[in-house]
Amino acid sequence: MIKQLTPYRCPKTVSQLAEQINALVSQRWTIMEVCGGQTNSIIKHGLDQLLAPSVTFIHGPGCPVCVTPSETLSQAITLAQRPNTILCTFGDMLRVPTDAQEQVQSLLAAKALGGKVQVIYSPEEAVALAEAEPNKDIVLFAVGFETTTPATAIAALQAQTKNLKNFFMLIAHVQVPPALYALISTPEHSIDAFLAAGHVCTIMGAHTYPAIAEQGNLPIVITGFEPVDILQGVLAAVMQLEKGEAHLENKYPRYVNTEGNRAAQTIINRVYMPANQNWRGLGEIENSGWTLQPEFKHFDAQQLLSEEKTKIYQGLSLHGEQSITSTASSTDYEKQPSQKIPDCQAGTVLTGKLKPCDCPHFGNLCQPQHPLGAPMVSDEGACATYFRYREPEITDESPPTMTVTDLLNA
Amino acid sequence: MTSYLTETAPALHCPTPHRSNNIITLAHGGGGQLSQQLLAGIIKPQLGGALQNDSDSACLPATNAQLAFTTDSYVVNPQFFPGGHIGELAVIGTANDLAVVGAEIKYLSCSLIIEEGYEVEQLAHILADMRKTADTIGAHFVTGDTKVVEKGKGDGLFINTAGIGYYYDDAPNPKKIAQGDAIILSGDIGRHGACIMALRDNIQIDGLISDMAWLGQQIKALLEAKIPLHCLRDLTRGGLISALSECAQSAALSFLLHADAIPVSDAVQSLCELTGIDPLHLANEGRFVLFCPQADKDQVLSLLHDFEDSRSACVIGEVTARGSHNVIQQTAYGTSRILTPPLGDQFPRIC
Repeated sequence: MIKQLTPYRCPKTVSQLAEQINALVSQRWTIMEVCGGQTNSIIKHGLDQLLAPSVTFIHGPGCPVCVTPSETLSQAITLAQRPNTILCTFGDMLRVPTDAQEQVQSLLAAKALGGKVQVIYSPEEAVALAEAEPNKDIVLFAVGFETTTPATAIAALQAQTKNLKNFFMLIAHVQVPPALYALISTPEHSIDAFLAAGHVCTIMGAHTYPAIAEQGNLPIVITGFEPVDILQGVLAAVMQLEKGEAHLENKYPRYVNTEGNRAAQTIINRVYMPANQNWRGLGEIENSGWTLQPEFKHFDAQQLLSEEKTKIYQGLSLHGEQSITSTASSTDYEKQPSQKIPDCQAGTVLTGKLKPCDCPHFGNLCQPQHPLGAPMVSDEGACATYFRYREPEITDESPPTMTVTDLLNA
Repeated sequence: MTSYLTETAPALHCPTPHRSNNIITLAHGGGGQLSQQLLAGIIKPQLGGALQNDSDSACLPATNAQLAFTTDSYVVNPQFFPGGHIGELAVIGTANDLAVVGAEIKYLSCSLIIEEGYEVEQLAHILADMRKTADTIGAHFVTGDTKVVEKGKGDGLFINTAGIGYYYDDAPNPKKIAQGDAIILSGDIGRHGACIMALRDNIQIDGLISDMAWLGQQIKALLEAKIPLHCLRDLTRGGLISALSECAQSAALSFLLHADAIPVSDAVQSLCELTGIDPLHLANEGRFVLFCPQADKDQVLSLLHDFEDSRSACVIGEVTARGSHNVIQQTAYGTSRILTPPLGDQFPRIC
């Protein structure tokens, strides 16, 4: 694996590409990537430093952890605390704080207080757990872009084949193209070109992007993740910009073709259908998420949440056990537009209007240890990436005193 | 008296015949006879004759040396891993904490918290290896304690060891780090953390073996060579970054790490590529960093290369006044980034 990656990390090639880009530009261009992995690579390797004379990188909503709605996270926490229930989740969801002023503000805190949270690498582990624990309800927290959606769809198919009655899914998947449409529709956006996420395109193909390029009148370049990949993507974008062109280019041909992975797309469409989706910090984007097809609707975890709501009204305890109570009201179970935490600038950061390091709270009130919002939590969130690799400017703003509650919710 | 036993009457049988006890029960932690039996029958024979169990404290002879004292608890899961097990780690980890302040380990305590149901044979095996490891490094178990907790409350076995060591010169510490000092790393990083992670999460990668190793011999050789060691720090949880960050903060200086200077094995790198985990955050149990004047770095490396566990020791950077007490890493591309310690356990990324 390492040997295969080495050419795409070659310092000499990176240097040559950077020189080429810096020599080519007639003005400074603003390029947005919409993929947390690419954000991480750009900042980790200092590619923005190499291209400082010619390119401003701004970072779009490419981290699915960061854009998962707070109310969905609250639902996940509720399910983790539900008797005889295990919530299965990818690891990087654990520390994300909710917006709401609840007692238990993260899955990690819920786990520390006795909630059942199981970290998984693959959605199939949730199916296996449902088989192994027939007396427990297993909920798969299905988060991620199109790279992850086929895997959760396979889990649903497996559960269907095995006729599992105790397998459920809390869906928070999102789609990239509607987000791009939303970004270019934002008044006074400063995006000159997009780098499209290479792995998302590996699954979904490239056929939806030409229309976006045309509508936005900007280049879109499908790009990989290694330093050479990113610079090749930037070079292609800059060449188009210098010529006044605006079309799709694929600079990740070793994995991406126009059609994408048809088998994966078939599986997605079998299990899911498009639905409107709230994006944390951005609001609702039409048809940017997924919901289960009617054939698989019995896996929807919303029914468990409806039962919990009924239980609270009736004052009953499910399965004869006491659930760990939170102060959440019944209205928390209904989808509401994402609420912003006062002072958290996640919305402007995720739309590229503010760099994390330019946020007044970056590195002070907002740090990974006490984040104001989700982008400071996930390793691929823009704010956390900047904090991890760039020295925060010390200001007079003092960090808050840590309390026990802070520690529990860290 | 009429006897009810006749030749034709069936012999009486006890309904609960005695069976040998091959698991630890709550009774073994109760302080009574079974506790004494465990101590006399298993623990003391395995941990050795220096164990003073006939008084509540170990009484140790006076010494002219200065004393270093440390303690650590071991809760590693799984308890057995490629390269060792929890018992050996409990001796080596504590011994290393003494070694990096220039102290030679002499005495150890051993406190066991055992979950009921734990197999006695496995416990004996672990204790025997602890004794062997202690013998190898010249340390003696002199005191200890045993507790037993209910099933489900203890994850099998937890071990605490405390260690006393002797040192004769000023102990190396971060306050002695000077601008311009060379930063030397004793070997490739991340093996222990990667090994444990792969076992826990069933990730199949060849060559993942813990780097668990005693550092005392290398450090003793360096001290005997009278090399001015400003600071030593063993790398444990939190990895290389945590150790360097702590030193930078204590020294109120910044460290500049050279591009591609930190050795990482292919197996560890493969696991990190797969999971998105940073190898600089992974735990180690047989590696240390060392700060010394630039003029002494070649002699340090020459000495370290004589030992198997530090054959790949190398200079990874130097101490600088630049920055805000950070650890800064140069990249292969001529750029730089700061390295921040992990907040807690690292979680594999979503995509």
